Amino acid sequence: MASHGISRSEYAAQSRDEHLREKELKKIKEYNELAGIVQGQRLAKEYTLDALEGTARLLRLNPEYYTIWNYRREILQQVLLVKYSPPEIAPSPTSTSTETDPEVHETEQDPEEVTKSLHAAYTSKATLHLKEELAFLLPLLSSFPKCYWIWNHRLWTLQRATEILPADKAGIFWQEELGLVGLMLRRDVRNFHGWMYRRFVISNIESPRRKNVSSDEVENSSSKDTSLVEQEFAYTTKMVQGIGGMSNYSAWHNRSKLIPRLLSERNYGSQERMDFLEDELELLKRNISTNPHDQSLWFYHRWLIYSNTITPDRDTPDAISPAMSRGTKLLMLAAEIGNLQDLLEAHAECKYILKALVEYVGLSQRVRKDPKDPDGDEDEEEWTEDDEKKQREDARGWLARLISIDPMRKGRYQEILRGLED
Amino acid sequence: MASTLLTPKHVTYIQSLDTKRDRLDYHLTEHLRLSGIYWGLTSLHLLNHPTALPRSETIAFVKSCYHPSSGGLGASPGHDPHLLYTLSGIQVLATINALDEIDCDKVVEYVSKLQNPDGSFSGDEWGEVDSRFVYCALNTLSLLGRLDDAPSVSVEGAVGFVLRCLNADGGFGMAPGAESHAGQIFTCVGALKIAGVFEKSLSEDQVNLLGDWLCERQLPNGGLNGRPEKLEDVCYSWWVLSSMAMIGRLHWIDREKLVDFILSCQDEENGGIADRKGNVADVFHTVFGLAGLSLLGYEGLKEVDPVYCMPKEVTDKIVWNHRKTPTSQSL
Repeated sequence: MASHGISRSEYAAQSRDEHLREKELKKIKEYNELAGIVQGQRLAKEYTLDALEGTARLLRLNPEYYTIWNYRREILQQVLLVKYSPPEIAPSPTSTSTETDPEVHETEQDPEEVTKSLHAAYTSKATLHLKEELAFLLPLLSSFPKCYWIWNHRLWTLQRATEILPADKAGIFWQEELGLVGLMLRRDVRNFHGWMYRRFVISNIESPRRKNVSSDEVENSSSKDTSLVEQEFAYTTKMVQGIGGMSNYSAWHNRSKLIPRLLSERNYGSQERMDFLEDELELLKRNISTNPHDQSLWFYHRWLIYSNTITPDRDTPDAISPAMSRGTKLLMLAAEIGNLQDLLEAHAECKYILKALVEYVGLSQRVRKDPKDPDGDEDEEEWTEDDEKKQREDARGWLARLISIDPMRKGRYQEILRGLED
Repeated sequence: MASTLLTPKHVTYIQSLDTKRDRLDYHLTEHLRLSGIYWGLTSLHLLNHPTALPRSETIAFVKSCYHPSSGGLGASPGHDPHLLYTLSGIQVLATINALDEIDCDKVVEYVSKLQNPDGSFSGDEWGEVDSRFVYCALNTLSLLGRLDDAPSVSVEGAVGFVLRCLNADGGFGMAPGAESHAGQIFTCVGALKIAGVFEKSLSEDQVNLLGDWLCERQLPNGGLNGRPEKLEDVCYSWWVLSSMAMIGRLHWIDREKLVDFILSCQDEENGGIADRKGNVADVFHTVFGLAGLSLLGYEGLKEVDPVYCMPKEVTDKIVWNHRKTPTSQSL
C-alpha cells in the first residue's frame, strides 16, 4: 500500500510466473492463519509463552503490524517482565523489630537475607528475559531499519529495564545499547531513527533515574557529573571526518545541537568562544574547498555565520560567540566573503558559493545598520558609499549568474534581486 | 512516458484496490487500511470522481474501525486505536460529510487523553512521542470543530512543543533536537497553521531559511527529496511542496519540472503513481502525486488544501469559513 523502490517490471514478471503465484497464495494462507490465531489469543486475553511465541512469528513476517507489538508488550508485562514485588514473609514475633539483636537468631535464616537473595534471583531472571527480547529485535532492526514500531519496542524494552531492575543493572543495558546504535549508524550514517534513538539512549545514560524522560528534557539535560556531551561531540567529529562523512548532514546537525551545551559545560569565556568559532570556520573552509558542491557543509556554515551575526527575533541560545561586537562581526563576515571570492575563482559555476556570497553580503549590510559599539575602540573598517555601491553591484552579478546556472530556483533569486533595488 | 494525467486509469486503479486479495501485499498492509481509504478517497475527489467509492460501504468500514470504549480508531477491524488512524477516519467522514455517523465527543476525549504535560501528543497509550502526532491531534480536533473547546487540551502547549522542534536551518524534526525532515516540516507547519499561530511564531528570517531549505530539495530531474543528499520521491514532492505553499514560497522551485517528474511516475498500464519512475504504484504515492499536481495548478484537478491534504472546498466549509481570521487566506 506504500511501497518504496519496488521495480514495476520485476513485480509484473512475478505476477506472470505460475509457480511464484502459487507460492504467494500459499504464503497468504499461512500468514492469515497465523494472524487469525494470534488475534484470537489476544481476544481471549491469553498471556502465555505460547502466545508470545506466536507474536514473534507474526512480527517476523510483518513488523508493521503495530497491534501485535502492543499485544507482545501486554504479555511481557504479565509474564516475563513483571515488576518485582517482595514476597510476604510470615512475620515471626522476633523478626518484626529491627532493634532486636540479630545474633540471637543465628540459627534462623535472616529474613533480610532471604529477601535479598529472592531479589537477586528475580534480577538475574529479568535480566535474561530482557536480553532475550533485545536479541529477538536485533535481526528485525537490521532487516527493517526504518520501521518505527521496532525502534519503539526496543525503547520500551530498555525503559522496562529501568523500571524493573536496580539502577546499576539497568545502566548496563543502556551502555550496551550505545554500541548497537553505533553499529546501526555505521551501516546507514543518515538513518534518522538511529540518530534520534542515539540521543535518547545518551540522555538515559546521563540521567538514568529519570524515567520516561520527555523528549524535551533530552535536549536540555545537562547534569555535568554524568554529561556525555564531550564524548558525543567527539563522535560527530569522527563521523564528519570518515569516508563521505562531510556529506553527513545528520552528523553536522547533531554537532550544531551539542555545541551550545559543550561550551557552557567547558565554562568558556568570550575569547575561548571566539577561538572555538574560528576553529569551526577553519574546519568548514577546508571541507568546502575540497567539495564546494556539498549542501550539508553549506547548511552548517550558514548556521555558524547566522547564529553569530544576527540576533534572531526569537530567543535562540545557539550563538557560539554571543558577545561579539559589531566590528568583530563585520570583520568575520568580510573574511568569509574574501575566502568565498577566492574559492569562486576556482569554481565559477558553483551555485553554493554564489548563494553564500549573496547571503553574507546581505548580513553585513544588516550588521552595519546595528548601533556602533559604545566603547568605540573597535577596529572600524573604512566603509564608503562607493563600497556600498560596489557590493550591491557584485550581488547583482552573482544573482544574475545564479539565475542562469540554477534556473529551477530562479523565483527565489529574482525575489532577492528585487529586494536589492529597494 | 506519460506526459498527461491518466485520470480514468487512476480512478479504475483506486476502485480495484480492494479486490487484490490474492496478493500478499494486500494482507501485509492491513495495518494501514483506514489511511488507505483516506488516500484513495482524497485521490478520487481531486480527480473529480467523488462518488467512485460506495459511500455506505466507506462509512461502514470507518465505523468498523472505531473503538467505542476509548473513542479512537484503528487501521482495520481488530487493530488497536491510534492517532494516525483516528485522523484518517475523521478525514474520510469529513470529506463525505458523514461526521454525524460517529460519537465525536468520544473521539475528542480520545485525542485529549493523549496530550502529555510538555504539550506533545503520544500516538497511542504506549507513549511514542513525535511531532507528527501533534498535527494528527490538532487536525482531528479542528475537523470536528473542537479545537477551542476540547476538554483539557492545551493548544498553546502543543504549539510550544512544535516550536521546540524548530531547528536553526528553518526546518522541524520529530522531537526537540532531531534533524529537519520534510515530512516533519509538513506536520509542524501544518500544526501551527491549524492553531492559527504560524505568522506570529516564525520571524521572516526563519521563514526564508525554511523556504531555502525546502527549495533546495528539488533535484535536477525535477523531483524533490526529503533531506539533503537523498533521492527524490513522489511523496516528498507533497511534504515539501505543501510546506512551500503554506509559507507562500511555491514560486521558489521549478513547477513544470516537478509536474513532469510526477507524471513520469504514473503506471501507464494499470494506473496509480509510484515513488519513482518505473516502480510499482501504490495509493499512498498516488494521492500525494495528485495533491502535488493540484497545488501546482494542474488542469482538471480539484483544488487541494495544503494544510489538510483534503479537497479545499471541504476544509473551507468545515474549518476555514468559521475562523475569525481566515488563516488560509495567507496561503
